[in-house]
Amino acid sequence: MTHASPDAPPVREAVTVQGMSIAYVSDDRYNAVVNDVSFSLQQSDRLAIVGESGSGKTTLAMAVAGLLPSRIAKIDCSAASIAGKNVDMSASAAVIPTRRQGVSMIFQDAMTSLDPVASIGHQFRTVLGSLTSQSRSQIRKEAVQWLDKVGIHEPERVIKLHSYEMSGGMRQRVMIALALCSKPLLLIADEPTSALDASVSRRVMDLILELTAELGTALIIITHDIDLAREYTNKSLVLYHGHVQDFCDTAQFGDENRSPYTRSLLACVPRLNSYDLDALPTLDHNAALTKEA
Amino acid sequence: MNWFKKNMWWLRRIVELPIDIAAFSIIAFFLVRLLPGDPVQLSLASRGEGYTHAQYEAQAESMGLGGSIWHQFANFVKGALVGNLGTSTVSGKPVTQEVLSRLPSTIELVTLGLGAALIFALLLGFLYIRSSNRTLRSAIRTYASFATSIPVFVVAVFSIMLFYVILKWLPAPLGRVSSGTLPVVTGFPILDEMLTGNWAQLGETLVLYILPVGSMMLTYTPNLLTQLIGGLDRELAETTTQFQVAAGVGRKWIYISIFRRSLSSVVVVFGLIFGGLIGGAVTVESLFGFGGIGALAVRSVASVDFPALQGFLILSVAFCMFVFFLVDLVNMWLDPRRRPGVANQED
Repeated sequence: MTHASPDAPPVREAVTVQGMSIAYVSDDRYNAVVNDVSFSLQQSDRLAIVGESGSGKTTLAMAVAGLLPSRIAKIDCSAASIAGKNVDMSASAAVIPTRRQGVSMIFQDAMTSLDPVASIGHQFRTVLGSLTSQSRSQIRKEAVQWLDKVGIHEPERVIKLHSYEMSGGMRQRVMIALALCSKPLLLIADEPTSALDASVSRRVMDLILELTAELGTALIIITHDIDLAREYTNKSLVLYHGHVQDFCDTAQFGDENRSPYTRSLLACVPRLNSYDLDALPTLDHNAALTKEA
Repeated sequence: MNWFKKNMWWLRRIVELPIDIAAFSIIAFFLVRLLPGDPVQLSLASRGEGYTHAQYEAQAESMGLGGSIWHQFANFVKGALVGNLGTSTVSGKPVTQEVLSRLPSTIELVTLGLGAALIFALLLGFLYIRSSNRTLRSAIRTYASFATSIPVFVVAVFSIMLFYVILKWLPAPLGRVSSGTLPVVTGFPILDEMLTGNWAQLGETLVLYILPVGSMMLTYTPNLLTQLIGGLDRELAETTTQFQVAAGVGRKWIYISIFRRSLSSVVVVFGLIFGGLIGGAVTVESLFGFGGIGALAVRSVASVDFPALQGFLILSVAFCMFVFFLVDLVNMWLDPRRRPGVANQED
């Protein structure tokens, strides 16, 4: 959880987003959801996007991953680049949006993310077969290796299964393997562990961290769990109603320079000594509004 | 043993099929006899003279309708087991032969009409998710909204008016050229023309098929299309599709997966319309002068022809059940979760 040490190879930029605003389209009217968000990540960075429900965390992530088609959302972005190359972040006109090159995303519930009617092996084939011109047996071998890598026992047997034949933790691991087998530059994880129980959730987070470090993949974790952000990330972006409240090193999360909203958010995290308090702290929404004004 | 377990889902359905058909045959036998009117009396009355009780009994016996209903039922079961469904009281021909000489041409017409509708619906569905053109997409949606609102004979009459009466592009709707002039191989007119190498006549038949098949296609495409578009819209919004895009699945595979997940209700509606049209194609067939199974059913109801009516019911229901069996198989193949016993494995 330290920054790149001095003797490490020169840090490379993974993704930079400047002045991104997103509005949802409804009946030719626009509802602004994310306003003027900027951030920059290096390949070794792990960013937590923190905020309440409806703060625009997922919308921001979907826009970066290219998953918002223009019939749903309008994206304005003054500049963006991935791995140093300029990227047009505006919404895709196609009905099925086109993937942002080098960006993978995983979701909260693997049950609804994996293809329910195709076997795991087939799903690997649709990813690996589209990227390379490997033969079927080579792809199968690579898929088995990936399943082994994410800690699945008997990968030879699991590759023939469908998602409904596996446990929740296994499904989550398969989803991570599918998202990473294209060796992306950036992995966005949208509440990756909210659907799992505490012990499985911890192991899945460790796995995500280990694999992204191994592949040199930058990581964005969307979460409302401040403790998870503190433990697993080195940078944090705090969103409130689509406005950035703070973009800082996670280590400096608690210091004096943070915005009133962030401090109010941190105060709400229950501590071991919370029972001494007369009342649990609640969010001070005025704190965020003063910043917006 | 393992093979049986794995393939149980379709093996069981094959075993069930004849049982279902047998059960329906028994129902059909009794249902038909609920029809008002006495076929024996009707045929005697048609001779225009009085008749004695003995004559009535003799006539009933010759028509296979003598004795108690249980006696008739026993005879019916004995005959049905060897494929003999009795003799028509009107034409005097064996019912099985009469139905089977008409059923194939109806099946052929319905298959072509609905097959064209299915292909057209799939094509429009593909355009619907492939094209980003808003006008085209809403046009497809509008066409789909015509589902079940326009009857096939309206489309057929209008197309006859336009292409035969006004434009004079297509020949008169006076039936198939080939009827009665070709050796019957399978009973399917187009197939027979191909098998006997009668290419000139095949061409003429195909031209005559344009209007009825076209009318059926235009009428039934929206029925299939609403189901397809509903499924496509649902699956486009699914996390599965988003994850596929985000994981780098190839375009081709994303389209295949979305269609596979959207098709089940299309297949069901296809089967339902197909079954309905085996009896219901009579409107299209009579508009275009084609003989078919529907005409036989209408004739047998009008003349209280018990054996012909029950033969028609049993054979067309048997065919429909076979179609529904295929529908189930296709759906279980498309979505393995539908296979019996699979849902139990979920933990």
